[in-house]
Amino acid sequence: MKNEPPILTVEKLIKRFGGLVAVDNLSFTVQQGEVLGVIGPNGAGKTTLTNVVSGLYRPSEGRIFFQGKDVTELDAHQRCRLGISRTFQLMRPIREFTILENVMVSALFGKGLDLKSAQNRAREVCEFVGLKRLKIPIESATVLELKKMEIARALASGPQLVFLDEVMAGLNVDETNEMIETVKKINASGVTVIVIEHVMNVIKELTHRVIVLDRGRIIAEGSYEEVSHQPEVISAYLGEEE
Amino acid sequence: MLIILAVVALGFLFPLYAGPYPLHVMTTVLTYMALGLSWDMMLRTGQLSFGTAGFFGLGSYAALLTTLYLGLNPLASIFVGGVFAAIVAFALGYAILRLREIYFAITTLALAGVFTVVARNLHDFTGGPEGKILPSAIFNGDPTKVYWLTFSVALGSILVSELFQRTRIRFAITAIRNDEITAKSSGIDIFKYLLFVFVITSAIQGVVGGAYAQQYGFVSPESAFSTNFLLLPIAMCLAGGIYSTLGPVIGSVILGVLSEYLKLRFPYGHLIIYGVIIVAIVLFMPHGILGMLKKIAQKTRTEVGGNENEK
Amino acid sequence: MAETKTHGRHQFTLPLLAIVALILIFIFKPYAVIYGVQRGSLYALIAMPLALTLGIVGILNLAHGDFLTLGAYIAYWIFNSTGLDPLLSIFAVAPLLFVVGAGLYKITVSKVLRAPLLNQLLLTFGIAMILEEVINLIWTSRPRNVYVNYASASASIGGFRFGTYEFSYLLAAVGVLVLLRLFLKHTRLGKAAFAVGQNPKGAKIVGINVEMIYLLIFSISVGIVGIAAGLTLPRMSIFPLFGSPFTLKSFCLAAMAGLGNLTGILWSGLALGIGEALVQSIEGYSGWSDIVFFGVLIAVITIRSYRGSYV
Repeated sequence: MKNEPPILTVEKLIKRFGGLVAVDNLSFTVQQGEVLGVIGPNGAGKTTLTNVVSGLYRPSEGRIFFQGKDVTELDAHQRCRLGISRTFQLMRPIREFTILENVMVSALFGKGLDLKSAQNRAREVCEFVGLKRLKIPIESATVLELKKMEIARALASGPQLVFLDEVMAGLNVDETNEMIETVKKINASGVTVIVIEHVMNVIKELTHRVIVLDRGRIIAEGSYEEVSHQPEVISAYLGEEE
Repeated sequence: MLIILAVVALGFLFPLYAGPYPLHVMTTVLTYMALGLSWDMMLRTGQLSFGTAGFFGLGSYAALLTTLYLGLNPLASIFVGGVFAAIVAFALGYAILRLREIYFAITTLALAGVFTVVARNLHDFTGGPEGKILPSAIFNGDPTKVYWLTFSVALGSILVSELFQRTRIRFAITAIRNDEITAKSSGIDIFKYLLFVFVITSAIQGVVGGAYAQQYGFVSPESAFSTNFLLLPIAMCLAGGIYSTLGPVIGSVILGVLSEYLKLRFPYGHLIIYGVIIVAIVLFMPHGILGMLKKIAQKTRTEVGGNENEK
Repeated sequence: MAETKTHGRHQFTLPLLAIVALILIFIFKPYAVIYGVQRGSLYALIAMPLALTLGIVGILNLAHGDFLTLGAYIAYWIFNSTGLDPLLSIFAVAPLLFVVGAGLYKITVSKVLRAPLLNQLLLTFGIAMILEEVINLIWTSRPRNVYVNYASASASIGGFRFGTYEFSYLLAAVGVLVLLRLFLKHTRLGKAAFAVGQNPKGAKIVGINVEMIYLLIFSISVGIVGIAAGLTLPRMSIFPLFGSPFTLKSFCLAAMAGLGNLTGILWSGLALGIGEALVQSIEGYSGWSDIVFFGVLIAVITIRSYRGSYV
């Protein structure tokens, strides 16, 4: 695995908002087939990093390479079509659509299918993540269903790399376990996964490697066991009472 | 869908039984129907356009002037009106489709203002404030033929609108309207779709304008860019219900006929009642007639369902 | 309604360039500067209240200019029936419009504060239509004026004569600006209104009666238009559509200045006024002066959006 070129390379990435530096000179790579964990206290820059790599924000400085191609100047929809997709921590369903239609959107435009095949693909993906009620309006969906829908939408575009932004937050133990299995299945199907999470058990269970962010910088990198004992990591988290 | 087919069928039968005056009223209704549909189609992307009258006017001028100067067949000139409006929309779209909400709305209104000033001041070419007159109106003003012309334009708009509702376009523009961030993260090229819809709807407005100008054989800044062609279609869509084909169709028929009646009844001040209707709809019926009917249907359905459960 | 801080470099270059341009224009086209300042002050006087409503209540009032018409006709009616000088009648017209504004706010505007943008715009559009048509019905479309001898006062510089009465617009604009700023910065109520404009939810939490502030600001804005109405009547012919162009001009100035920047509105007004007057002074091209306004409006909105921040 180590000898293959990385699927994602981030070089000296900086994102400023006015005077605030949300992502501060980040460099890292992600290998094909890996599950990478990104952890850090609130405001560490995890979601900003997701937004910059998925193309919602332009970086202030630095470059992003996906499968060897420089995607820094590409728009979000182009990156989605290339194979980078993501979920939203604060779920963003299309409220006028049913669950199925929401998933169809990314099969239609992310993967470029026609209506009929997009519907089939959406059904498959929904089944894959364990969604049963496909034709319900968004208002009557549960939090778990919405989280699953976010994942299904991210998968329906046929990505090589998926950001899962706190998909376990707010779920109970059973639901979390179900979700962990889902993520493992996603990874087993050949998709590289970046998991952004607060719940340490999840990170421990799922990831091959972890990056710890604090105030936009990488303060530790390695396996979960390695980083969880580093004093910087503990103090970053202690400052946040977790 | 059935209702739309019924309306279309009525449209086909109408000229067989109606005299010249009802035909004329219906021609006006159909003009507004096409404009309303085109405006609604743009609104379905979440973009509120106030440029309807502007592109209508461009089409009017393009059609009339090509017939006047180049001797183009009136029917072909109507097509030219649409193409011209589409080209202008395409060029302008690059600059203004990054704007949102109030800023897009006001900019489209301002663009219509620019078109008006240009038309009024290019005296030698457009005839200035007095405008230009053709030696004769299209079909020599035969009301039945004019009706068929406008009917085809309206029918075309209905078809395009249904196309928007039944293809992947619906998924793209509904997603854009609801949440642009989700839309682009799902792979939708927002700008491309906005530009596409803007060009198509402007083309429809141009064609409607061309047909209108040929119908009277006359064009002037005040008639071609009249705010009526902006306001009335919007009011009609709102009355019928937005984001659908049926809403603008129903709304234009009801308000169109009503306004004609009001015009006869109150030659002065019928526009007051029109204004009151707009205000009343916004305040009391924000989802239009269609929305209200849906609500009633839902209520009766749940009531019926409840009764069945009791049995 | 915070004054937007410009970056250091612009702070000096822009005003400097403006002054140089002004001097040059004054040397070559002195009357363009004089007319421009007069006209621009009037624009600013009318735009400030629109910006106030837009900034604090968050509503773009499309009937704004029609309140000017209404106020002017009321002043005209007072003049005709009592002979009261239009300038003195401001003391009746402004409070009267304040009350009209309050009533309209209570009955209509307050109901759409949380409604979609389209409904808000259409509501005020509808109100504009009603106002225009009611005025048309009562006073007909015949232009009206009043004659007072001081309005034709004039002065001359180097053989060039110009009216001096119109400088009252400048006085009024500066006066209103100073009073509004004093109100917003130094009174309890004004500070509360300011807070509501910045963050309505936060203002509600700290116990500010947001509804009351909205009502007050909307009414004050309509009231200020009454001042402009009384001022313009001695010098201008009024007709039912007299005020409506001022709505868009006001929005243009608000967009130019940036939301919340009242002083900027005065500068923008002067710039627009002088620009228009310049074009008007060119022989044979006077009809194009509206292009300046529409062009500035479109350019300002588009450039601001490219910078990534809406006004």
